[in-house]
Amino acid sequence: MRDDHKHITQAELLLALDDELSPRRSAEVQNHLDACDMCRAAMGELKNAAGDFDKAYRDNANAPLHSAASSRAALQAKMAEMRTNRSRFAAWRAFISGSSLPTWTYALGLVVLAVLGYGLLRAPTPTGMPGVSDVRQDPIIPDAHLTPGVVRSVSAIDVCRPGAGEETRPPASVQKAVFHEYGMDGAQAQGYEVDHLITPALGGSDDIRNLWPESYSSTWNAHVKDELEDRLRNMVCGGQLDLTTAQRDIARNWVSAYKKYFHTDRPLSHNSDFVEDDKPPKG
Amino acid sequence: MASQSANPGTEAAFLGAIDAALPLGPEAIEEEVVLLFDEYRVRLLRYVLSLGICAQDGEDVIQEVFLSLFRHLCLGRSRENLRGWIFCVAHNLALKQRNKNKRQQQRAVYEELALEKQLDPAADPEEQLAINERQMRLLQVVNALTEADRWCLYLRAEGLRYREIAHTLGLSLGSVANSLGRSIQKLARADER
Repeated sequence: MRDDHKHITQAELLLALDDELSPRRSAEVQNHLDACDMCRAAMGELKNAAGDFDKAYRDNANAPLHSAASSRAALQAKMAEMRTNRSRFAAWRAFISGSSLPTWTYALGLVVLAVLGYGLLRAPTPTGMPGVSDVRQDPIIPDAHLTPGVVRSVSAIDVCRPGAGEETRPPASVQKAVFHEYGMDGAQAQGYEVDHLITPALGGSDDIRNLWPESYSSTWNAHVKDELEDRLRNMVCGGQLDLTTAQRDIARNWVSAYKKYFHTDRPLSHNSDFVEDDKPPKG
Repeated sequence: MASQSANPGTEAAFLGAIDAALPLGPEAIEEEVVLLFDEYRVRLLRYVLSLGICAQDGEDVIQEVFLSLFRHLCLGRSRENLRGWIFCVAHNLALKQRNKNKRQQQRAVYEELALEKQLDPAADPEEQLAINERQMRLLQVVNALTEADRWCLYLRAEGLRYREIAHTLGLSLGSVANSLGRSIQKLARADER
């Protein structure tokens, strides 16, 4: 038991000043201070000394060398670079660790790839020039390793606000990076939309792992996916579907999601203006 | 290249990646780091400069602190006592930089700047002089403290709780309380000298 009539030590007065005492002891100290002029004066001296030092410390600091905006921009650029590098690393790690095949199959696969690659390099293209095909087949469904889908930390309430999550075109440098990672450097950019796998309207992010080159001309094209995105958002905002399920379904396989939510095996007729028959691979 | 036909192996990896990304993507972490940067940049800079590094080194240290924080959060590591974690990383990086540079004279410069910056033309000259003299006495007391005692004072002035100071400096809670109690009593007696 403490003796309430004993004066409070300076060490404990400082703890009280800094709100570091337990609530019970803090109340006891306060009761004592209310009744004791000496301890109240000691507390005042500590408070002045500490306050004056804090002010001197803050006043004497050097001004920042750079503006907050330029320092922030530098940090954001470095994080974006780390994020891109990390996604490449993670994709490879997931690929290697996700497979249960024995090691020799990788070696065999490499040999087969080498033979195929040699054959492709040797084979004449339609223009008679040696080399591989310029453009890979249109990725109807994005590559799961390159584009697993990434979401922002948002709720259904957030995405259902008017004007929330409006889709914006990624910067040209990002679009170029997306084409490059899909091996489509030679593709005609106007034939594709660098699209969000999980649309921002459903909380999708602008991370490159949520972007892929989506064809405008295949049967299951960018316009058809837009219809699905609208449908899912309406269902989420109408309380018929939870946001996580919508995000998961569209990320897992958006064509299957379209079939599921529109109850059809083909894109609906009102999309037919955009739809052409499946085309053979370009190149 | 993915096709419309299902591939069970790819599908499993795909779903794993989605599950990992759904709770908080790197972009959301990036936004969080930028918010923390805006909140703590000036305070951290002030603190690392007080440890004796130059302003350019201080700016570099702050960048490295928040990149480390970004990595820390992306790896899903502990969010407990994040403010203590931030100051701890800043403290260690600043000391590393200071040792690298061997610029021990920076603290003397910091001390000299004290009087230059206090001159406020709008203030009453006599009052200004009194403030300057008092600040000089306080700085003399602080400069006579051990380095660890000074660090505790600086971190307290930045608004850190005792447990955060303890985390930053690798001290026990009791050591922090003792250090601050000792130092502030000395500061309170500065006018008696």
